Amino acid sequence: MNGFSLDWLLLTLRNAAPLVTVLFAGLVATLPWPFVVGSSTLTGTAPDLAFMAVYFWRMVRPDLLRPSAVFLVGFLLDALSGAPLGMSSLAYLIAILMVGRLAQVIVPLSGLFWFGGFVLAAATVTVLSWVVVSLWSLSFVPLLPLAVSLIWTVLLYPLMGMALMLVMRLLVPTQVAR
Amino acid sequence: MGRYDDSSKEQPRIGLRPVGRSRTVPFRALYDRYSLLGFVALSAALLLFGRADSFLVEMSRRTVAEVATPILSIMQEPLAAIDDIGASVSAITNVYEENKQLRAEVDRLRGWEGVATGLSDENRLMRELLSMADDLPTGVRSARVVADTSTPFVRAVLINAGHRDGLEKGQAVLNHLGLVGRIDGTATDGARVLLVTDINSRIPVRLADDRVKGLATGSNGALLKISYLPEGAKPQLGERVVTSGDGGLMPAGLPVGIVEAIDKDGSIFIRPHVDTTRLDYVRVLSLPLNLTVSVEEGLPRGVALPETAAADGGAVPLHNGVPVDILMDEAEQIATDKDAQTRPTLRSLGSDQ
Repeated sequence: MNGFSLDWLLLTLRNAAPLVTVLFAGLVATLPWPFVVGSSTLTGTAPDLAFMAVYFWRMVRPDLLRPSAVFLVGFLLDALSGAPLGMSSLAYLIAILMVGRLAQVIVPLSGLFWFGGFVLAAATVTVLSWVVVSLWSLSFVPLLPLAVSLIWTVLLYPLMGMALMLVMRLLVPTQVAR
Repeated sequence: MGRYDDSSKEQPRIGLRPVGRSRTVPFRALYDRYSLLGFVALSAALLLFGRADSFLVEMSRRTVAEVATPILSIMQEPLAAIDDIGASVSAITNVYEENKQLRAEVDRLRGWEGVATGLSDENRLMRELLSMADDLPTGVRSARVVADTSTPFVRAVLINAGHRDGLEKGQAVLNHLGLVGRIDGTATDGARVLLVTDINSRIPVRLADDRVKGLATGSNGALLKISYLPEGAKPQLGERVVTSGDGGLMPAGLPVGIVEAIDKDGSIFIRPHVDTTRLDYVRVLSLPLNLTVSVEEGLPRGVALPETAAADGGAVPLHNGVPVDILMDEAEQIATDKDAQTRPTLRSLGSDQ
């Protein structure tokens, strides 16, 4: 019983903040925003908010967003959207694997890497998803919505990064719950 | 190796910490490094497995929709309120102009009311003379779109009604403008609607003027493509396209869109009436046909015998110009959920002709 105290519970909940923010971002992206004016051509071009959060936490606190959590997030997003199950998990995991390896080679703390790495990762997710779905449906999926979604994702990432930074300062503990 | 291996220094709160470099938790670091590869492999396996086993995939989707729909319903309430306020402000500012237009519309429709009543009486009389059965009644259930789960790869929305409300896979979904899509999966209080524009959407349609039939296919873009139109069909730009009702998937006559483009190679594209970016309330129609199969007759109720005329030298049997296989696939999809024993008879229908 000693291990189970209110402090321990609070710390565990705060450790779960990264996963909660990722899931929340995934749900927010699916909401029918009333003031977004679009055309049918651009349906489904919402920014990939979930991946923004995944990338942020994997870069800042990978100990709080393990690969298993990334897999779970991708699985849930695919199940919700009706996409082939495993598509988002595969794309997200390969993207963070690639950027993680890159971080060992180039100066990781520079601002250029911070943003450039995200652009590279987001582009990887887009291309991988496109390949998977095209193979899955045995037809070429239109590229325009993909490109628009990618541009939105890249442009909004600094804002998302700032919001998540705030969350981290307010909620996420500096030590890991054991 | 330098700076990240120095565990005596405090870790920066913000910054890159390469996976697997921490000395303090070597097991976790190792786990992190290799589990990443492991989960990549698991994801790839899931993709392959998911294609083969649709039951587990469906169950997963249903469970996720079960949990997510109530959460999304709550999350979209503030947005719906903003939308309603915006609509109210817009309505107030336009009320005078709208009133004038509506008066003109009422005057025009009064003339049509008399015509419609006369035609309705005449139609009833003709049906009685021909001893025609009335169309089977369809139930209607209204629902609100709580999430637009469309991505560049899938065109779908979630609605806040599910199998508790009598919704079933395959049912037609429409709004005040026309056909929106069909139910692709249901949870207790939620359902996923596959939009007509999705790449996997197939809707049996006919041209409203020519009455020739075809199959409207989504492309994940704004337009639908019509395939399997009979030879010699000459659709006109702007011609209305409605559901044909073939296959028993949905009632005939639901407005789908208008012919917007005809390519040089003869490909026909229609623009749906429904703006899939602005969906709020929708109606779900229960299936109009009960696809039970009489073993003696070898035909599902409500599916007519195919014509003996065939394309490709008689290799492909047609029903009103649409290959029977296509219609049977659509019918079979519905029948599968209802009664697995109907499959052999449905399949044999296509091959016997």
